[in-house]
Amino acid sequence: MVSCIFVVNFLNCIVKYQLKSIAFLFIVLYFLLLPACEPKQSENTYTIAFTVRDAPSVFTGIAHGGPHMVITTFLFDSLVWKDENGFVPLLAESWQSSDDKKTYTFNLRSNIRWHDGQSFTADDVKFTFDYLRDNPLPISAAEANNAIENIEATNPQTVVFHLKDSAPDFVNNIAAQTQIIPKHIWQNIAQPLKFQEPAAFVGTGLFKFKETRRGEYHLFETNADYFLGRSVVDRLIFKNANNPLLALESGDVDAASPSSPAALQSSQERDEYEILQGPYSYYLTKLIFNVNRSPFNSKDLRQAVAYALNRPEIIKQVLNGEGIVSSAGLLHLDSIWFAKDLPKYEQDLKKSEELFSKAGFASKDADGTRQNANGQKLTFTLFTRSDSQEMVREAELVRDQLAQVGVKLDIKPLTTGPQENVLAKGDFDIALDSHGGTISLSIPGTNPDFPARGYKNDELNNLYQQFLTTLDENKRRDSAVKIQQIIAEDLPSLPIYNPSSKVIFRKSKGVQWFWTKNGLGGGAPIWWNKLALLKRR
Amino acid sequence: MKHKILSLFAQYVLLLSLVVTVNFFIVYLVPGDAVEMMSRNLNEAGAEGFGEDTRAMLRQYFGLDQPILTQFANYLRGFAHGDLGTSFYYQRPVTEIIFDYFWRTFVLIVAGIGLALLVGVPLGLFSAVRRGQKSDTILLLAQMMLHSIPPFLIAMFLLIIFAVVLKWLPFSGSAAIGQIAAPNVFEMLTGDFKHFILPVAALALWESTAVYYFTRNALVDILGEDYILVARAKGLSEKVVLFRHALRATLPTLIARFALVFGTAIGGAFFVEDVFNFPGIATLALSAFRNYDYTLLRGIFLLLTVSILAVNFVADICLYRLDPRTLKTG
Repeated sequence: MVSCIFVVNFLNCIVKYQLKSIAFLFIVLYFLLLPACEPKQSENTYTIAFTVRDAPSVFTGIAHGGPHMVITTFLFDSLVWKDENGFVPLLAESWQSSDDKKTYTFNLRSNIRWHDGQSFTADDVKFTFDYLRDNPLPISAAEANNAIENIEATNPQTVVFHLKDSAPDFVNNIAAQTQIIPKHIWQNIAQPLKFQEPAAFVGTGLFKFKETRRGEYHLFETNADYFLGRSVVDRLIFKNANNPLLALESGDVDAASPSSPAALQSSQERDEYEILQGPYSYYLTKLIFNVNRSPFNSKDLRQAVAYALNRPEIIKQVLNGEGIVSSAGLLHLDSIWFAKDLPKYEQDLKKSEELFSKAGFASKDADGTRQNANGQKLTFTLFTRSDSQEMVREAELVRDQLAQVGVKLDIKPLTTGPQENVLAKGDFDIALDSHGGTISLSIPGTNPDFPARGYKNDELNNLYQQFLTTLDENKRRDSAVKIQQIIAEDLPSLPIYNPSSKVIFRKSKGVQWFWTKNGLGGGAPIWWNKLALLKRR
Repeated sequence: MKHKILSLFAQYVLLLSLVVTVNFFIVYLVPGDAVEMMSRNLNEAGAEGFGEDTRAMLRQYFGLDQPILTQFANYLRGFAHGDLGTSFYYQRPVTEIIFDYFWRTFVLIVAGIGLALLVGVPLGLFSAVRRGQKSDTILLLAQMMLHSIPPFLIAMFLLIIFAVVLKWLPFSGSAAIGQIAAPNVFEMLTGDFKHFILPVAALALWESTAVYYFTRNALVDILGEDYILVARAKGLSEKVVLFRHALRATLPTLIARFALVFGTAIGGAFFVEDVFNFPGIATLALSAFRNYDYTLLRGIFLLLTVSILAVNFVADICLYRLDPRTLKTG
């Protein structure tokens, strides 16, 4: 009560006598503080917009996904890396594989030191993979553990991987993806997820860890002793930006990739920025049919729907034209396994009509909704993702376009989790969903979305097994093409679009970003390749 | 009196235990699964998702393969020891993460409400005294307009004016970068201070309209009471009438309303934090929700409920002491 009265008396005072002087005091205080807190950023600080969630540990990446993994690559190195043209040596100077692709030998550079000054040797590489076997948390760990029989450090500069089976993609999927950690630090760490001291971020990378504030930013400093040369910037910051374009405009960040490329157009004309047109995203949206229940267990009906849709129009409306019609075989057109001659499913209402009739849905009821002889009507709930504006708009267009051919859809937007649940349970007829990973053909083994939820096809599985284990490049290509042909013909899901990806960055900073061929690591389509920041020796 | 407070306390404890139980189960109302979500996150980023083996391994790792009641028992056991579990997404103890984020929201809300009171109460006072006059009408209309603007829009306006166009204040975050190793504490604090100005101002501006309303209305009621007439008839100066008699009598109403303002301030903080990329509890809650991190979500719900209960409890006690009549009715 005393304090309450105090507040009232305080207010009393302000109103009575001191309103002006207190306001004055605030103003003076503010101007006094202003100069003290001007950010002391040298010209040579580079800031990238990114949602910072957690310390840049190699092990926390499991929940945070590809971008988090790529952040760790500024601190840590893998044996092999990629640039705009393909593989480049990193920790390993060179590598050879046996003819049967079951043994890989990596020759390491000799002049490499960890950030704490210790020498990097083959023991660290062996240790890393052994440690991942016991703590399979980073993204590539499960894959590495499945592939590797044992590892030998034959001398301080040579590591030999003995694999269980032939693995032609070992360099891409494992050697270019696994970040090597220092043995002398990690050998005593039992719980890698809990170890987030500064020592946990000691790597061999282009940058040294300086500080991090969870949910705010990472601050890295250049590693003057880096074995490939110096960085063009002294400090590298990754910082949150909910609105990347506004952040760029305010000077808060120097480079960003807006979630929707269409938003870029207003700032496109400005000389201050460069816009890098990337490859089309490896992420696509698609219409999934439930092949396990009537009526979408009919291939004719699925194809009828495909021919009824005008996908270029959807891209125009949803993405402002910033996208490409996806391949019916699901693979990205930049993938080395991409099959060209697949059915295109361009809009063809006559063909669609025929296929509807073939599937038994020739007649329409009074409302114009198609039905078959048993009175089964083509009326469905179309699930879509409510957390993506684009996908809600996309659902509306699909609904409108299909209404013209007599298929009636009610849109039900769900957030990601609940929609996952609906799809996993198979409790749907038709849904819009999205996923990435379309650059490599290794997804069928790990991804229930490939080619569609609930879809089973033994022929496809056999072809996939053949693809994984065959060594002959041409035979592999044949399997890859057949896999895509089956998917495109059987059409358990109709891929709709891959959006464009764009990066916008400030020219004055002198950093020239580029797109990495086939994506970073196993294929993350992210533009922060550390080599863009390197003054190469 | 003591007895009354104790029974009140018991009521709150009962409410709290109810909240803890509901809290545990409510997250299951949203279908889905944290492990699926992790896989999804990888997948969205363009990488591959998990295979079945990895999924099973992770479910076991987090204890998600156990029956719900066993999980609940484990949760209660942990709760009794002050352990709210480990976040799926951050892989760290929930209490630690919440503490990391909550202090910022706490500062934001306390400073926001404080500023809102400093602005809202005098304005309400001003308006009530001039009730019906032109200045009151204009102020009332202005406040009504301000009140009808959603908080994120207010925040957006402030952000664009002060951070993008004028560049006087930082654009986002709650901390100046590189200040952890700042030469002295003063510099570190002033660096961070600047980051708090816009979020606090946005929240205060939005909350101040509510404060203005209830101050004005409470005062208008009281200024019509007989004892005010008596005070005036005694020849007391208008200032004494206003501050000693009227304003003091509005305290119970102000305090009761204050508890409500605290609740809405938490709601406002969700919008404000999102616009300013301000890493507070609201930002944390949104990310926890998006990622199905329900151990973390539970922890946040619990904290928010406890703080709202605590504020209400304190407000109740203050009310008893200020106005003993509520003892009989309450």
